[in-house]
Amino acid sequence: VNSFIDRPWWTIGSVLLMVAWLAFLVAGTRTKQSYLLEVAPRLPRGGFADWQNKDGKLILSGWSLPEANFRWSDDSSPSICLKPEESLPMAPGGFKYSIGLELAAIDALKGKDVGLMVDGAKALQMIRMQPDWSWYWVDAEYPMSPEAICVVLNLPFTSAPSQNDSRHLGVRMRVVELR
Amino acid sequence: LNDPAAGWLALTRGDNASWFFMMLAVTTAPILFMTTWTLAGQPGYPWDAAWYRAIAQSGYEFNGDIRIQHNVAFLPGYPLLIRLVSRALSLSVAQSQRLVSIALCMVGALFYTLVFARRLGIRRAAISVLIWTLSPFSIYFLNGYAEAMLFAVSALVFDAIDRGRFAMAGLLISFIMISRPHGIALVPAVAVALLVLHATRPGGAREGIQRAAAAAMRAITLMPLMMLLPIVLTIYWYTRFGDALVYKNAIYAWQVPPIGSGFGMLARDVMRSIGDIFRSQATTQQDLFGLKMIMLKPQVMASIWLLASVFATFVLLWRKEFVFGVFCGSLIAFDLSQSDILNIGRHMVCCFAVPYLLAAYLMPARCANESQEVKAIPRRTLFASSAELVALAVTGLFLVMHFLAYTQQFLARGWVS
Repeated sequence: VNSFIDRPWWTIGSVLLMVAWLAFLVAGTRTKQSYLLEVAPRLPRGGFADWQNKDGKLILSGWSLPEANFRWSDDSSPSICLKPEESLPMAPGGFKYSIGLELAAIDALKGKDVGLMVDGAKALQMIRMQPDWSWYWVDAEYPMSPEAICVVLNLPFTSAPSQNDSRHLGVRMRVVELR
Repeated sequence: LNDPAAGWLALTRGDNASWFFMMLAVTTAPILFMTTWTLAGQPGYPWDAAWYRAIAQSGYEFNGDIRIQHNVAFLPGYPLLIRLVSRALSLSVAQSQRLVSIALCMVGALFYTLVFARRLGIRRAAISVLIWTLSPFSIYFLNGYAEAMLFAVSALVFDAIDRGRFAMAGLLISFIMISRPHGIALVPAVAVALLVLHATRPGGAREGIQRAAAAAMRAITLMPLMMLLPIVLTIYWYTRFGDALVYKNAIYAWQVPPIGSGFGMLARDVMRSIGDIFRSQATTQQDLFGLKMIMLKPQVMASIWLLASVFATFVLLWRKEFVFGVFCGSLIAFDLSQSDILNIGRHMVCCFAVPYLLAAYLMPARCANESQEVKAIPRRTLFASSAELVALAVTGLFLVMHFLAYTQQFLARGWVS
């Protein structure tokens, strides 16, 4: 029974078989991330999920689920879209608003610059993240859609999605206010 | 080994005392465990044992959501055996699980006794296995976990290695690899056994290199045999679930929130557990058959067992027990990289370095001597032998009390390891 282990052709065949198996494992194995992205609910950009606060005063719809297992968007950047109860007026130049976000930096973002892009704003606004809860305001002229105002955060580490999934919000958000 | 069959010969030609020792090694742990189980009201085996029953009962189930615990996170070899026995003997899955666990524990104890007997003599071997099977975390050889499979199959592998049956050893490793991932520690053990086999042949340095190369070639040739069933299993997983290592991904559900594993975390937790001994926080009071006993907490016991195993493994290598030393060393290395303080006791249970050396060094030569010849004993020898015997008995008692306490704790659905 043991004699085959002294035959060179068996050794060569063994090496080839093991290499083929390892190649199969590499090609046929899924990552944890791919499972999570598949099962985690995601919103298309501009989509909504119900977002209700405790006292019912919030006028917006949006997206709020624990980040460990859910994503803010299926786009390449974390985004949140807010839906006012009534449609916004769409006269160009005739409607101006400010959106305020109360944010706190996670450890990885303390002191880092984050791009805050709001629908209708003229340019990406860079904000320096503070460890404490702070308000960040962006002025815009009108939203892209009469029924939605979308906020996109450009995080400094989104170029390394394997380490920090770019679809995570990546910051702690407590309040969103529209004026 | 000069005589690979020495274990069997020692058994077949052994005196009554040797038979008695061997019977003790094979039957004591199953009897104590089943007695405790009966006294506890014959509960169903909890924790992972329930997952194995589920696989044996209805096969793998997985809906693709790795945030939820699925039975695909468990390897199929052990539940497959439970299902086969259940069908062959018309038993329920729970009955079959109990039977398979006891049978595997007894097979492991028998074959380890024979394997150790070739090195230590039958009496020391039997005492070594007795200490091992009654050590605290050996409840996992009997409580419906796949550790029983690793225990039995690793014993058969070492027996096959001793007999030079490397193809058989390869096939057995293939089976354990689809039952318990820790079976991978047997792969370097077989490679070293091949190396030792070649190294014992006469020759100079150049021949030595050639022999090492020949041993390496043989080990490589054996690899597909050792990986035969894992290859089949990964193809099955890929065909059914679209993921060749779905098992590894499914474990994610048990890692949220992360406990923290790996060498750094484990080392910190082990040191903290050892520190608890000095802070008088290492013990807990437990009602053991109506007696109030002070027992070491499982994490503290696991930490002590881990450190003792590391030390004992170095001693094994120093004694030139290379195959055993490499197996135990590989098992420890695998655990240090993968395990955490909550599981390390169970993961280390097949590392036999401590019980092997306890019997080898503490069992007095006179007790281990299987010849019937009686000689006058010098007083100094008698004193030393008595001290050794007392140390062995105290160690054994300490371990068996924890074996019973942890069995009771496990059956009451407490977490042991």
